[in-house]
Amino acid sequence: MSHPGRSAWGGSGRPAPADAPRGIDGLLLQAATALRSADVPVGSGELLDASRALLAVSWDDEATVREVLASTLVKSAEHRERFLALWDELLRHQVLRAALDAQRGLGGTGAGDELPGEAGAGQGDGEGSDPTGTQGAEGDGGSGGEGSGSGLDLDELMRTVQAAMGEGSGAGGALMRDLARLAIEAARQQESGVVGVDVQRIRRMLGLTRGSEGVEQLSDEAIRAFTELLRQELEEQRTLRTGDLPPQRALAQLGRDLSFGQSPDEAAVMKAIHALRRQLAVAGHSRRGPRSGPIDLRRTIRSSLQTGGVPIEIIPQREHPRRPQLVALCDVSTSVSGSAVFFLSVVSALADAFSRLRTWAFIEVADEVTELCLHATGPRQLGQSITTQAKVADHTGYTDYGRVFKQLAVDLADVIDRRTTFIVLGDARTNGRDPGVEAFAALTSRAGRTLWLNPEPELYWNYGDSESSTYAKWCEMHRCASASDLTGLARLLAVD
Amino acid sequence: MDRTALAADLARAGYLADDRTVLVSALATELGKPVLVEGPAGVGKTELAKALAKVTGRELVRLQCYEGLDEARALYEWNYRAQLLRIQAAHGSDGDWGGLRDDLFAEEFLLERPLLQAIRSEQPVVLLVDEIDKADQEFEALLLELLSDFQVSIPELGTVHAESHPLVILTSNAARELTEALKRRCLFLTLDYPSPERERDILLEHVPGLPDGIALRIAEVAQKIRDLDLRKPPAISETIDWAHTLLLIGATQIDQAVLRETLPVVLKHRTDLDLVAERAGVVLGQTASAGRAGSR
Repeated sequence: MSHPGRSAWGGSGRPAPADAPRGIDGLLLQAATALRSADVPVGSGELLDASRALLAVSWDDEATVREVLASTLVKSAEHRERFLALWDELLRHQVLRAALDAQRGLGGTGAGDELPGEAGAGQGDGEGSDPTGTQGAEGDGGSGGEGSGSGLDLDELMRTVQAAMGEGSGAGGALMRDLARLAIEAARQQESGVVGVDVQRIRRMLGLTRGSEGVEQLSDEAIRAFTELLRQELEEQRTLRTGDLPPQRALAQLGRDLSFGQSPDEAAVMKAIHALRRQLAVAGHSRRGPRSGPIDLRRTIRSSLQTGGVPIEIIPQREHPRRPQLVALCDVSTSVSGSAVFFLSVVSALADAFSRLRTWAFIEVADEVTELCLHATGPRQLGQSITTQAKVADHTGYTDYGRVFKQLAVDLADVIDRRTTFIVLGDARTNGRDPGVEAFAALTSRAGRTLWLNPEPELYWNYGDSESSTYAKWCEMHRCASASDLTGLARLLAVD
Repeated sequence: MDRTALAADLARAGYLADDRTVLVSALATELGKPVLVEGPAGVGKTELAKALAKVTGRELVRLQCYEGLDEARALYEWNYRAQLLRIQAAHGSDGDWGGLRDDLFAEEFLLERPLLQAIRSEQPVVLLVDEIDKADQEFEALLLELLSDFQVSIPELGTVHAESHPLVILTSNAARELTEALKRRCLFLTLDYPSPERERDILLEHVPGLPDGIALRIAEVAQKIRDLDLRKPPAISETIDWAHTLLLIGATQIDQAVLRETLPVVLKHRTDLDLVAERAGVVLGQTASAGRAGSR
C-alpha cells in the first residue's frame, strides 16, 4: 500500500530513538482523545498495550503504525471504522508534525500550514487501495466531490468561517449555510459516511475545537449552531445521494421526530434499566425453593469422594439458564412518544442480555431494526437512528396495528417458533382502524409465549380507540410504563 | 520482529495472510497477548490459528465453545470412576486414611481439558478458543483468570501455574457482544472476505491444477455472490470446494448452465439458491443475458 504522503512520513527517517517515546506518547494521547470524543471507549490498558506494540514495530511505514493502533486501541469492527475515519484527518497530521518537528527542530506551525491540502489530495488514492471496510461508505462521496477538495483554500475557508461566526451572523443565515456546504465540500474526500464522525472532523479541520487558536473569541453558542448546520447539511446530502427514496419512509422525512425528554422520571428509568440489565444477565440462574430434579451423578460422586465415597450431599443437575429467542415489536408512533425513550431503553437492555433478540419498529409498517439496536450506544441514539433510518411510515404516519400484524404474520413466519418469546411494546391504540386480530392470533399461536407491554394504566385500556382487551385475549398484557414496572419484567422474562 | 519472514512462513503453511493479519500475529507473539479475531463465518479465522501452530511448530489445542460450556468440559475434571475404584481397592487393605486421601486427589485422577492442557504443556502451544461468542458470559469470566495471569485455581490442588505461555487465539462471529473485560485483554483483528486477487491465490494454493484464469473468475463471481443479500454468503472453504468441483467436471468457463449446476456446492440455503439463480446475469457480469436469467 503506497501512500503519497509517505515521503513526508518516512523521509525524515525514524524519529531518533531518544525522541521516540515522546512521539509515541503524543500520538497515543491524541488518538485516545479523538477516539473518546467519537464515543469509542479507550482505557489506559489499551494505551499501554499500544505503546508496547509501537515500540515493537518500526515507524517507517504509516500503515503499520495505523494497524498497530487499530488492533490495540479499538475492540470492535464498528469502532475500528471510526478509528480509520479519524486517522487520516487528525492522527496523521499529528504524527507527521511530530516527525517533522523532530527532524527540523522547529515549532510546529510551519509544517502544520502546508499539510492539510497536501494530505487531503493524497488520501483519495490512499483509500482507494485500502483493504478495510470504509470503501462502501465512501463510494458516493468520492464521485460527488471530484476535484473540489483540492480546489478550496482551507486556510481561507477557516478564516472566513471564524470571521462570520465572530460577527454573529444569524446561525440560520444563508451565509452560514453556504459556508457549511463549502466546508463539507472541502472535506469531501475524507468523508466517512458516518455523519457524527464527519461533523467532528470538519470542526477540527476548521479549527473549531476547544483549544484551537482563535477559537476563544467565538461563543460556544455560535460553534454549536454551526455544528448543527453541518449535521443537517450532511444528513440532507446523504439522503439526496442515496437517491431513490424507498417507498417506506423514515419518520424524519414526514417532518416528525421521536420526542424525547417528556418522561419526567428519566433518571429513575435509567436506573431501573440498569438493574434490569443486571437481572437479565443472570436471569434463569436464580434458585427457587428446595432443589429438585434429576441428580448430577458426576458432581454428586465427586463430592462424595471427600467423604470416602459416601454421598452425603446430593447435587441435582444444574439448570441451564433459559435464554429464549426474543422477537420484540416496538411502537414508535407519536401517541406513545412519551414512552418511546422508555421502550427503546428496554429494547436496548434486552439486546445486551439476549444474543438472539430481533427487533422490529413500526408505525404503519414494520421494519427490522435489529442492526440499529446493535450499533446504538444508548436509547437516545437508537431513537435517532430509528427516526432517520427505519422505514416505519409510508402514508400518514399514524399507527396501524392491523396492517402491521398482517404484514408480520407473513414476514415473521420463519422467525417465530415455539421457542420464541414475542414481545409487543405499544399502547394498542389503532386510530379506529382494523385491529387485525386474526393476524395477531396467528402470530401468538406460533410463538411460545407472547407478552404485551402497555404503557397505559389498565383503567384506560378499553376507552377510546384502544383495543387492549381484544389483544389481551391472545397474550399476557402487562402495564409497563415506569421504573417500578420494570422490576417485574426480568422475572417475567426469566420465569416460564 | 520479522514480518516478511512470518508472512512467508504462513504462506508456506498454506495460509495467505494480508499485511494486517501478519502484523497482529507478530504483535501477539511479541507482546504475549491473546488475539480476538472477529469476522463472518468462513473467512479463515480458525485456519489462522492452525497455520500459526504449524509455523511456530507448536501443538494446537482447540476448545470449541457452545452454549452451556462449563469448566468441567473446558478446564478440568476429576475422574470419579477411577477414584471410586481406588476407594474400592483400598477396602480390603488397611492402608492409612491420609495416604488414601492424598492418592484420591492426585494428578493421576485429574482429567485435563483443553484450557488446562494448554497452560500445563511443557512445550508452548497455540490455544484456539473457537466461537467464543457462542459460550455464556460466565464462561468468559472463567477465561479471564487464565488469559491475564496464565493460572487456574483447582480447589483440591491449589493454584496451577502455567508451565509455558500459550499463544491464544479467540475467534468470534460477533453473534453477541463480548464483555469489555475480555476484549480489554486481547488484541483485536477483523477478518473479512479476501479481495478477488487474494482469493485467487488461495484457490491456486489449495486446488492444484486449477488454471489461473478460472481461479480469478471463480473469485470474482464469488465476490459478486457475496454482494447479494444472502442468508449465508459463501465461505472461502466453499469457493475452494467449488473450484474442486469445476476442475472435476472439466469446466473451462463459468456460464449460466455451469453456475446453475454447481451452485449447491457454494450455497446451502434454498432462498439463497433461488436469489442467485435469478440474478445469474448480474453475478456473471453479463448484462446482455440478465433478462433471460430473470425469466427463469
